[in-house]
Amino acid sequence: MSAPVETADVRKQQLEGLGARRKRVEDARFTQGKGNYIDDMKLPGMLFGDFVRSPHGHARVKSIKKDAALALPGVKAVLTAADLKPLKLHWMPTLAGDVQAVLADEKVLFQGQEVAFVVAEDRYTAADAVELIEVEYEALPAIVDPTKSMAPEMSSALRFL
Amino acid sequence: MSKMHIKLTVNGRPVDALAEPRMLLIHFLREQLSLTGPHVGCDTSHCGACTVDFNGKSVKSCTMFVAQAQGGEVKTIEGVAAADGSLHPLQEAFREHHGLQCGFCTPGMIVRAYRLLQENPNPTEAEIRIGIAGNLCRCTGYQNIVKAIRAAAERMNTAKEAAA
Repeated sequence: MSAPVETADVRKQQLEGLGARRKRVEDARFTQGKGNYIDDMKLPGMLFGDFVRSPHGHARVKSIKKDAALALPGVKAVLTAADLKPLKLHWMPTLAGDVQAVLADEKVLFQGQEVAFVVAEDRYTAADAVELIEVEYEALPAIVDPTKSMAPEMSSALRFL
Repeated sequence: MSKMHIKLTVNGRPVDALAEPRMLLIHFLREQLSLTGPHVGCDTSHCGACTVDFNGKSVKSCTMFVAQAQGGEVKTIEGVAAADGSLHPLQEAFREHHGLQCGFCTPGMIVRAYRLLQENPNPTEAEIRIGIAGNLCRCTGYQNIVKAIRAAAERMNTAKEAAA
């Protein structure tokens, strides 16, 4: 008389404790769209933010006109480095021990850099306000060769004004 | 911008609302109806986390205006489980086969798989992979998602045969 054959699957199903199969508790929620991620949260008075970003790799910011954006109904604020400077919030330390511009301070150093920050009642108004902000740039030569960018005189030229 | 009157059916319930014609369907669902199951993962129509079912087809709700959904029928992940709260076989299978980790892509994955199994109730592994090509997952590597969809198809077919 031989014992019934126990397959690996059967053995696994009988395991308890270490090595046992377990259904994750959170999956019942996640599979029903009830994850509640940060972007899913809605709090009273919550506002939307959007950025004006630099189209240039390297340029001097000559002026930022925000009147038209501020006049748009639903726009709460338009912030630039000039607004952050008195609060000493325009440059922030990084984990690398370096500093980084929160919003472009007189110069933009890469394409897509944040130049102004809009706060509005909804995301569409914020996007409209971004379109209404006029930034005047004076384009400067940009370094596109990574080897050249590592030259000591280049790094100082790029990082500081 | 002036708002327009929008009438549509979402998860079987009639919805009557005002929205700007330029509002994307995903923002309408998430912000106006508080259906936050469908997600905005990329903002560029690549990731499929915003996938919903619209008039019997899978659509990325970030590529469509709510105005285009006028009079239509939308099903989101919130409408996939049965009315009594019991999970759909796809939801069970994703859980059973570990077809998710962080769960962010899961609503889009399941709603897409739901339509895929209506179009092709018995898909091969290759057909499943092609069928969910518009949905990206950054955790699982797809292996278990494909297994889960295959398992759900089998379970649904067995149930159908038993009912016949």
